[in-house]
Amino acid sequence: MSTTWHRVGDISRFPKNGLVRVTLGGRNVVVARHEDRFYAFTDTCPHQSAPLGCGDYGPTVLPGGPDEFQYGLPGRVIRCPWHKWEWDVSTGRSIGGTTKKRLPTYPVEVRSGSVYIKVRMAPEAARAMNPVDSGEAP
Amino acid sequence: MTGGGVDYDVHFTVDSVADLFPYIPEAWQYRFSISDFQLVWDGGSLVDDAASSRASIRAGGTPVAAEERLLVPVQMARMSVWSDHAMAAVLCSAMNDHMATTASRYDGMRMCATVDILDPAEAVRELERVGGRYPIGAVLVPPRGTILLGDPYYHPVFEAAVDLGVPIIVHPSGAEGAYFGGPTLGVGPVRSSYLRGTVQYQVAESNLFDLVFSGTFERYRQLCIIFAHWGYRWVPPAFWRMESEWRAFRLEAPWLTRSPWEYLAGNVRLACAEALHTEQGVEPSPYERVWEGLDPLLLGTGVGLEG
Repeated sequence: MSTTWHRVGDISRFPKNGLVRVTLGGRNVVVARHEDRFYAFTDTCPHQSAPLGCGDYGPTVLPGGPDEFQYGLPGRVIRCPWHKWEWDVSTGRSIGGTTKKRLPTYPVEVRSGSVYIKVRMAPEAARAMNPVDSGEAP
Repeated sequence: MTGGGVDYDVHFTVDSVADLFPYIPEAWQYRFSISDFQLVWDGGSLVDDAASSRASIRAGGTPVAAEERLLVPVQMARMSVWSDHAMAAVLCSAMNDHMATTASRYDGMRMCATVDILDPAEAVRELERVGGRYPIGAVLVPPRGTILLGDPYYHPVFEAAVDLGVPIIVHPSGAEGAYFGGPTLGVGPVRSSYLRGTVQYQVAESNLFDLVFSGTFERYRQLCIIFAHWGYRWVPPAFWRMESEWRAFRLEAPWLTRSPWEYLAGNVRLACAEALHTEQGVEPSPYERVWEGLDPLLLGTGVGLEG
């Protein structure tokens, strides 16, 4: 297995505050864009494997006192379309500590107007993907 | 099972309101004497053949050592279907005074204070009156039909109980699903005690859910609620469901900083005679195994003691 950066498209491919599903070496990955920040995570909910790319992406409400709703984490939360589990797309942790399961996330970088995702995959799969680099950011 | 040899559910009853007259102002005595009001308890009590002894009590034919007993004035649990808050206040005070007199005759006897839940402010006043005077071991709070226990309506009473350092007891009244104003059941109005007894756990279930989801245990972290006489086998599957829904709808109750199971372990106890069986080494059911380590059960025999 090797870790490589892969170009997944121009910035213009990814709408602000939206989700785009891409495939990397047979792996389904969701790219989320909040303003000019990008996040990438697996398209499979750790709960029961629902497609997170069909979920709701945006903010959430944070723990506070009883009867208090605090707006927070804009652009950091994906809600599963099936059972509404929430995940922090920047850390992979569940929101509110509802489970110890983690959502696999991937490093994302923007270089020269293109979006790159760093994933681990078998060498033959990586070669087939024609990665821009091997182990280092482009 | 926790509780340290305490029986948390000894049913304290009186034959009639007249038994409380020594503690009731004369005008109210007359008021009761011309009315047909009765204190009712038809929920059943186990026969205690040694109620005056602290050595043992018999429940289901099995002797159980109880070092301390808590008198629960079960007739007052029906307060939720009463309509006169002034009358409720008078009866609460009288019942507390009468229980205190009875408790003073025995060793290891404490009383579950009854307060006017139709008027929370009055309830707090009564709790302040009896708190420093009598051996209070808990406070009886009958849930009202349309106001679940997670509602702010009960906050003054919960706050007073926490200040006093005693738990809240929630006990069936026999009015569940049968009287207007009483706690409602999922089956609607019931036509038999058989049906009521079968489904009355729903009252405890819905109130327990409401207590957790409302954040009441976040607001009052020292609050302890004892559900007495509601059984306990319904709790594990109910909490499994609750945990599942919490993960899905955390957004609607973001103030919950712990899982429902943790609130159960930290703030809730279930007093029931069935706890005897777990104590006596009977093989636990699959339901009981689910919560091994949480240990939320208390002994509550439902033995009767007439005052």
